[in-house]
Amino acid sequence: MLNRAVNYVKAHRLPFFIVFAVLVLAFPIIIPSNFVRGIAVRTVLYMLFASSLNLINGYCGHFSIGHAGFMCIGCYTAGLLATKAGLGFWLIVPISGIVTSLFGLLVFLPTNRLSGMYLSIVTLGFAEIVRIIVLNWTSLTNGPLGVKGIPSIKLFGLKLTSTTEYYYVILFLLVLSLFCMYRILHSRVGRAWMSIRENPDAACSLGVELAKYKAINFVVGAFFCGVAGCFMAFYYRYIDTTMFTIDESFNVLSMVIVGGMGTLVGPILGAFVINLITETFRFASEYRMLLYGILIILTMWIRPQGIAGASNSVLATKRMAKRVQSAAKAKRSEA
Amino acid sequence: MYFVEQLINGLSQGAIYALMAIGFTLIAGEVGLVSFTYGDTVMLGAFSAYWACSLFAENFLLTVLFTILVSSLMSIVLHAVCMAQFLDAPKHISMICTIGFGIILKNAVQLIAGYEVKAMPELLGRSYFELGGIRIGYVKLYIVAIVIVLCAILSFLLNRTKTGVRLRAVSQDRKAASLIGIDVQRTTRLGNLIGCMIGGLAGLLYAIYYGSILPTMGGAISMKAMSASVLGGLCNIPVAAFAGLLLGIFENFSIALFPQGYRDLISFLFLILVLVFKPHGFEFRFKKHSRKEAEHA
Amino acid sequence: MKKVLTMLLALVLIVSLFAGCTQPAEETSGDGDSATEPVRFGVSYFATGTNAENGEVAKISLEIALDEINAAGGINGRPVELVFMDVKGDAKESPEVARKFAEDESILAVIAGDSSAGVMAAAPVYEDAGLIQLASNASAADFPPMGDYQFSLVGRSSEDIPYGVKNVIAGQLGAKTIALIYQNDEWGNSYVESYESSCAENGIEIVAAEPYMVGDQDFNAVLSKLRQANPDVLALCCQYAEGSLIMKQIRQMGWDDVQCVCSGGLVNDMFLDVVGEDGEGVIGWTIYAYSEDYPQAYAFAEEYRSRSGGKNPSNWGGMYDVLHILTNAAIDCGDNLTRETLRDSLAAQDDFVTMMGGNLKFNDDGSVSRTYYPLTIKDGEWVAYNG
Repeated sequence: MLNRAVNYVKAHRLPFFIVFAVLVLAFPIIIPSNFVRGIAVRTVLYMLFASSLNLINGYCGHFSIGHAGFMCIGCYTAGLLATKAGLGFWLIVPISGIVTSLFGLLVFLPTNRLSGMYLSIVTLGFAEIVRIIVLNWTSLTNGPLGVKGIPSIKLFGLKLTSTTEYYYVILFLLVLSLFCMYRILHSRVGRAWMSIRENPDAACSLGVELAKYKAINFVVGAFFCGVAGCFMAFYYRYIDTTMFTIDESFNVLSMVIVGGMGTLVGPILGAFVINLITETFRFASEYRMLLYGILIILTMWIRPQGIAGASNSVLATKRMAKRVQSAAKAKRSEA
Repeated sequence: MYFVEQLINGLSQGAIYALMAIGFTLIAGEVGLVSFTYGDTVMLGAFSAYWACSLFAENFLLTVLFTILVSSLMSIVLHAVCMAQFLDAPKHISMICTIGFGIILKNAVQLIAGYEVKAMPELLGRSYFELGGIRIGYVKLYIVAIVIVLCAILSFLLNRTKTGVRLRAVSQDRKAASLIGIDVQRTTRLGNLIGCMIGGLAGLLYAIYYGSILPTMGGAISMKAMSASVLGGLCNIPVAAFAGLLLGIFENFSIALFPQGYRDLISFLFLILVLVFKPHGFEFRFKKHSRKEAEHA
Repeated sequence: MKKVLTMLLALVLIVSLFAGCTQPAEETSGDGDSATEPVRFGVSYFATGTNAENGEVAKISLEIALDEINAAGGINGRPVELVFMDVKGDAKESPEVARKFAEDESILAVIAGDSSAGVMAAAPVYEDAGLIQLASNASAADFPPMGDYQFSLVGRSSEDIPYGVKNVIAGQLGAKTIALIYQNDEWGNSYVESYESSCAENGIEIVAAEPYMVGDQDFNAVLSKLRQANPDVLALCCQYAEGSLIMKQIRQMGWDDVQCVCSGGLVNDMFLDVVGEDGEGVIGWTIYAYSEDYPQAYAFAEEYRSRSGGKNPSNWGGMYDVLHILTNAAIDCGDNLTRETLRDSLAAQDDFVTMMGGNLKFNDDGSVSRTYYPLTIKDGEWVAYNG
């Protein structure tokens, strides 16, 4: 049934998209509540984080569960450059992206020879290592006191102060990033990634250099995470390591899982859904985490690729042996 | 004497880590799945020990039995939800399921028991003996003894009973085992059960050793169990146990060299270093087939 | 089965979509139901999360004060209402909560039962909105100077420690050497700095100082290190979760010849519950001592006990004084009660008397100086310490 809904949307893409775009752009004007706008900014920020994780998990089939590590690096790079070197937001965005992608490369290096489970453990370990080092390296990062007093974003000399203005900035960043991701995914690099995801041995036999493309995957995924982290630092204006725990990794991971892996829309939807639940359950926030757990399990049972995930990929299969059959089945229902 | 004190602390802490590593490795080897909810299994064991203490007026034997009961029930639910369906599926699906299960478990315990730290009654007493000016609690020695006994029982089970043969067969090669008539579902359920029971008991010992429990204690424990187990290639139990012991001792001595804050770092670095040099850990067994399975994850 | 689960999933998502937009904050109103418009104050506090017990103490103490105020006629005849919102112990929540309060025009001030990190994260939002954030327990010295609308009633760590060092450690105990074990965060580090300067002033040598991380459970190694330095006094700059474990481990390792002292973070029931008999003899000092020597505080504690089912208030009971001083400031505004006039009135309060009998007034930067009272654990209870 969900399949039919998804297919309907896919078939009528253009009208849905136009309505959606109008809503998104006009959002801050329609809704007068500053509180809701704040939630919107946070949601869009997480959409970017989830998209960056989706590049790694959804398109290349890695299973990274330590995204908080990259988020931490992106945020702290931005925060420290802003407070200690006085650089402006727009200059820091690419720098923060590049620094985080260097760490992405660092994570990739030991994991090259590792397979699924080990890779996940290493990414988790990496995230914790980053957090502990940042927490203890007081001379550089202020340790447990965090980085405070990060200035606001300046656009052409004007200081941006209202939530609406921040909303448009992050929206701009998200759209730009999605555009870049789209181009990358439809290029040779993206195709290489998807072939690695579906069957690494076959990909290798067809001449895809596994190590090189896996490395690029981590680097690009980390880059966009760094960009998002930079915005996060400028938006919250105070960051400390308690914002980057394992729970945060799982938070972003659940957005990608529930929303969908392997498509650009998936993480957008996932971030929206999870943040919506957060707000709905504000009055019963203890139950919110329980709900996440249940949602994750339900998603794995019913639709492993997520609500808007790639249905004709290996992510959608629940039985290894039946992989060929279900891929064929998905293709038939698409036609 | 400071050295001796740290060594003894390291041994008892290491014994607990070893026990956790054994349980984790058992599950990973048996079911072929890395369980990200293992830390929460241990935590549940600790909490059931705590609840048992108030129910049974601190009777050690009944506490142990209650802990085993709760862990077993949990393991059956875990197996049904996260593992039964996905034995043949791509590995990441069940991994994600276990993550979800862990989140549910942790928050459920938080809701039932509250968020605050709870003091664990001293089931094994406070008596100690003096050795060259330092005080060594008997508790520490009891813990090491209990762990050794459990290991002996497990070893007997795995190596000398028919059930053990079945367990080992399934962990070596699942398809071949099913071909010769072993019920794979039942055996993996049993493997999971034993692994979780061991985890629960490790939780009980952990609670006694530290004297306090907290619903969020699972996270760090998961990492430590994983680190130790990875050294044994996620399938070799004696090596995992040894790694756990080593980890405990190493952690305690590292305080002398590094500031306290970096202590957890050490187990993660340990983990990564091992994986860099030996991507599949130290596999002393004939594991050609399951290595292929792991690679296809 | 699969269809049922799918329907369930879809249902949950649709319900959250509709329910999400209009979720009101948790509310509590006072007893008054007069026709005049109520005066509303926001309260950000820990309803959930690891500090939920402190949040509970805060809520009950506020309710005691609220009932008293409304019974006495409220603010110039208008009843007082409190609007509670959960900050969940997460510093990222505090600005969101602040935004929600800021845009509700009827909220004239916010009482913040939040951590130092939380109030500092929320401060820019309150400052921009011109809304008072009156912190009850955030002791970071950097917080009150953050703006005109930022106030703190708990006193600063820069005064807490000097009192203890001068009067208790040097004075009553006559110690010459001290070691510190401290929580490695904003709060703990500010305490260490205070110790360093006041010990230097009083001729006490700090022989060792070791940090630990929140959530640590094993302190044996750290304690062994500290023991080697052989101090007269060991200062615990801890919260109750770690502090209680530290005390237990100190007793277990047989380190009996050191006097343990602590600050207000351990003077509460939660510490006593976990530490048990291992806490005997620990000395602490804090701004609230609910013994019979201080009749108003004692009466408050009795009322607290009857409302909470026998639990004792900690220094989070200070919320009682917080609401009273805010109310007094509001009463002084007369008919012209706005966010701005309330702020000026609060800053100008100089004759408020706390339930401990001490006088409170705000310094220029929004902080206060408080009086401290020494206590010790005897027979499992915190009682007055007289040297």
